[in-house]
Amino acid sequence: MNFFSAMEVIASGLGAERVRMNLTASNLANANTTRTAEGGPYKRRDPVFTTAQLDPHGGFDGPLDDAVKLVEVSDVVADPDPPRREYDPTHPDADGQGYVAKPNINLVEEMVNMITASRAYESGVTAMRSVVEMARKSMTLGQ
Amino acid sequence: MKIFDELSGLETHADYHLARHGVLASNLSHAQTPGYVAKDLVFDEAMTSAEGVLARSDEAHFGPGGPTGAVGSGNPADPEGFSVVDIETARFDQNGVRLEKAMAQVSANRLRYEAGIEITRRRLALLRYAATDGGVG
Repeated sequence: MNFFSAMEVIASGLGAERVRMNLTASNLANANTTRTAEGGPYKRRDPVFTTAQLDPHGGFDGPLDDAVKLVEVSDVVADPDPPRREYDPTHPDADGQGYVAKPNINLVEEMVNMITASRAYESGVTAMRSVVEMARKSMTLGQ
Repeated sequence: MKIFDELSGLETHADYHLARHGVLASNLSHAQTPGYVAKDLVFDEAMTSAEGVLARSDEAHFGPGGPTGAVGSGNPADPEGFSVVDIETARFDQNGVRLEKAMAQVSANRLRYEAGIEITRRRLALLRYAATDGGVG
């Protein structure tokens, strides 16, 4: 476990939060999409984060590196919640009763997700900055 | 004692990190290139030769390769023998670059370079100290 393991772990976290931000953007952009390639309205997408093993650096650090885990986006899942039903008989995708199946997206929820992702990204950047600062400070030891 | 020997090792170290910076920077520039596979510069045997062979005085001592690793093969590898390797397989977008990882690699590489320069600086200061008779000459 050295400064560079920490940087690698933080970088993986930043990457994961960026994926979450992209998916939130996709959810917001498609909040009214009624036609998709798989048929039916767009379904809300969510990333699934899993831990991943850090590449062993070998040497003395090998055994300690086992305790430190990277984060990885292992999957992107569609929210199984039913679509919103909106009454709009003139819409070309309206059913017999005049209801249109709209994506199962709650704007407030997406905004909250976006803020969380953005804060998590910021905290990762701060952590990265402090690791770099620590490493740089270590070079001035004994001066 | 060959007092300048260590400096050539440090020079190799700086050369390597400078060359690696180029490779990592090219990964960043190709972050949007379809089908691009991220690259890295490897430096194992060269490092061994640059550091010289460390004698293992006890079987229980660890080497660079971990508890079971050798303490340095002592192969007189070419110090310029850095080779570019592919580090990640392409994903959905057929591009192997992960932006944050690439950025972290660039910063880590810079830190290693700075550490090497700092060691060189101190080493030279020590030589200057000796050459000026303890700073009084």
